[in-house]
Amino acid sequence: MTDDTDHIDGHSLESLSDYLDRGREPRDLTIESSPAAQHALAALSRLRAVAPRVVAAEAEFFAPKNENWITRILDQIGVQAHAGRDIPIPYDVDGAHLWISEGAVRALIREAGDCTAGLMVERVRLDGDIDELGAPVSIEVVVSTFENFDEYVVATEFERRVRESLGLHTDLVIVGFTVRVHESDLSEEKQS
Amino acid sequence: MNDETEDDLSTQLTKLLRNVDGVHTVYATKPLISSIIGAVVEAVRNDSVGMHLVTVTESEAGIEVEACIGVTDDESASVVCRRAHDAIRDHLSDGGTTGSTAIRVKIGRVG
Repeated sequence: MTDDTDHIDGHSLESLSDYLDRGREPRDLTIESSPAAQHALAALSRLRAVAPRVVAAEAEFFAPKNENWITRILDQIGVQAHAGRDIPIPYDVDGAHLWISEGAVRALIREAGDCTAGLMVERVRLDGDIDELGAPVSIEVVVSTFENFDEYVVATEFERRVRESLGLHTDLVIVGFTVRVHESDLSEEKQS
Repeated sequence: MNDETEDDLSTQLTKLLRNVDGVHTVYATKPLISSIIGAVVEAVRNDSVGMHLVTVTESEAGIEVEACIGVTDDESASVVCRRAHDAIRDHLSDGGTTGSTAIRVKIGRVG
């Protein structure tokens, strides 16, 4: 499974979007059998669900609205869906080699963001030797916030959800967690 | 691809994994090529098995199994991964597999 940023296991983001448009019919096994493609499809589906509400909110509060935030998110969906590194799962049994993919962990973080009101995840980065069991890991997430939500409150709730999810599903030793916020109405990146 | 005997075991393990609690999908461990897809038009999820998603490699030294799975998010992915490993190990043991065994299971997606 390649880590080519333009293609997700052989599929472009556009072709995956078209696949969604067709109701995932006819079934394409190269898509359905690819975790990376599944991550991208899930992210695209959630973005489609959220985007109209966000655009409507922007239209109400900002004129003219700017759609760069959605481009940033789309750009990252393809990049972030790839499997990435293998994160070990401890199991003291002879011959057992268990992992969770970095892409699956990034997807968990993205989904935690999508479950947090007023926030969408743009980019996730895991810093550290995550392919070594017990190594300290720092997480940096770039997000967009919407609808006049308090960024501090939103980021705090997001971090709580991420830690809960990763605590349940992974054995990562998280030593740092940073959330950087883009305002959705700005054309240029603005970090706080 | 594997030879006939290995293919049979791969199919068995794919079916086995699909029935492990918490596993919702068995993904391909190797990219699927278009020529195969054209000949095998059936769903991966919970449908009849038409291809070998689990890689089985046998040698004089022993047997190596590689699987990539998607798991539900209502219990620990690590727990489900270990459960999947144990199911494969028990299946191999019940089948009389001898020699060293390496079982590689990766979580490709949660939820």
